[in-house]
Parts: sequence; structure tokens; C-alpha cells
Amino acid sequence: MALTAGERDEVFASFMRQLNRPDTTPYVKSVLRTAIDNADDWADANATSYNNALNATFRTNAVAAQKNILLALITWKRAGKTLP
Amino acid sequence: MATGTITCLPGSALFPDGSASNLAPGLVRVKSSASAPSPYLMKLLFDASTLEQCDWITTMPADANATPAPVMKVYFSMESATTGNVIVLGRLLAITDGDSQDVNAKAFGTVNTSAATAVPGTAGHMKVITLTLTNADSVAAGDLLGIYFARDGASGSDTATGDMAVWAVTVTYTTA
Repeated sequence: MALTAGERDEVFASFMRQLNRPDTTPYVKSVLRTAIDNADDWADANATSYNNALNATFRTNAVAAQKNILLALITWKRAGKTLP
Repeated sequence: MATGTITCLPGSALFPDGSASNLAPGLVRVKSSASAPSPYLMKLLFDASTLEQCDWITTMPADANATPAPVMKVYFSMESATTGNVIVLGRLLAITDGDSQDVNAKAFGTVNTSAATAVPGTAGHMKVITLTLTNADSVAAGDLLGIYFARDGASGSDTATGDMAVWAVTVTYTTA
């Protein structure tokens, strides 16, 4: 299920707190906010595809939250961030 | 007549308690990447998505004229944004000798809001915002003076992403 507008706003605020030098952001807030909508819409539209990409045992036994955390940690690490 | 300046530095800022409508900026010590002896600086970091505020308490110098209105200058840079605008707010609090005013219950005067100021085109480069404090809480020479500063990250006109770093805030006045 897609995030609510309020939840997307939370992501919006959190994203900007992650910005540190030497990161630069040559885009304004409205562009970023739309990108959050884009990303969440994409995740929602491709949820089935993602689920099908997981091995059958994990797909059957893991709950949705665990599958979301898995994807989040993968992309967080790919962003060069320290894992929580 | 000449111009006098009150300088407010990050290290002497007073912070609210973080409750609703009382959010504070971050305070960070920075070591310049320049070769030794490397300067150390302090900056206040104001969020892009909400209103964060701080204030300073001092006194209005004895040689200050009430008119023209004092002017706030904000020395800032952006941590990551290279486009967009910021909106800042300034308020004064003034208590005169003998006022029938409980200092512990005093409120800031009416807000002064800046125009939307374009951020520098390069992150880390400094710019100065000038904000005339037309609403000056009737400040007079010798008053106990409070200076409030905020970035209104929640404003629709504040479009720059990421933190706004404030290196110094000054209030200039015309001398008698």
C-alpha cells in the first residue's frame, strides 16, 4: 500500500536531514517532494514484481514489513550509508 | 550619526525546548579544511522542512537611536542547496528601565519577515540577508534587548532544500 501524504511528508523531512556536505542539491523542495511521490508510486506499482523476485521460502515466510526492510537496507547500503 | 552593530554568534545563542512551535537549530563546531592553523568555526543549522528558532539576550547600547528601524543582517551559507530561496524571521524584545513588565513573562514583538532570498549558487558560499526590523517592540537606548531569529522552512516561499548554516547575525542601528 502506498504511503499517505503525511507519511510522504515525513520522508521529505527525513531525506533533507540526510543531506551533508559535500552532497549538493541542485533542485528545489517541490521537485524533491514530487520525486518522493514518484518513488513511492513506483514501489507500490512494482510491489508484486519485487515480491516475485524473492526466493520462494523467504517470500512465503517473511511478512511484508520484513520485505520492505530488506529492500530499504539494500538501497541504504547502495547509497553508501552506514547501516543502522 | 554613525552605525553601531550588535553581533550575535552561534556559541551564545539560546535554544528553545524542542516542544511544538519551539524547535531549535543544531549547533555544530567546524574545522576548516584549510591547512594548519585551521580555523574553527561554529554554525547554526536550520532545517529545511520546519520553523526552527533561537535568540540572544543583550542590551541596546546607550548611543542607539530608535529611528530609523534597526536592521538585522544574517550571514549564511547552504549545506547542500545550490538553488531555491530561504525565508528568515526576526523579532525584537525590549524592556525599559521601570517598565511594568515581568521579565519572565515578556513576549517577543511582532515578526518581521524577509523577502525570499536566493541562496548562493555553490554550497558553502556565504551570502548576507538584510532584514529591516520595522516592528522593533519600541526598543530604546539602554533597554534589555532580546533578538529572535528563525528560518521558516515550513513557508511555501522557502524552497531551498537542506540545512541553512548561519554563521553570525547582527543588528545594526543608527547612533544618536
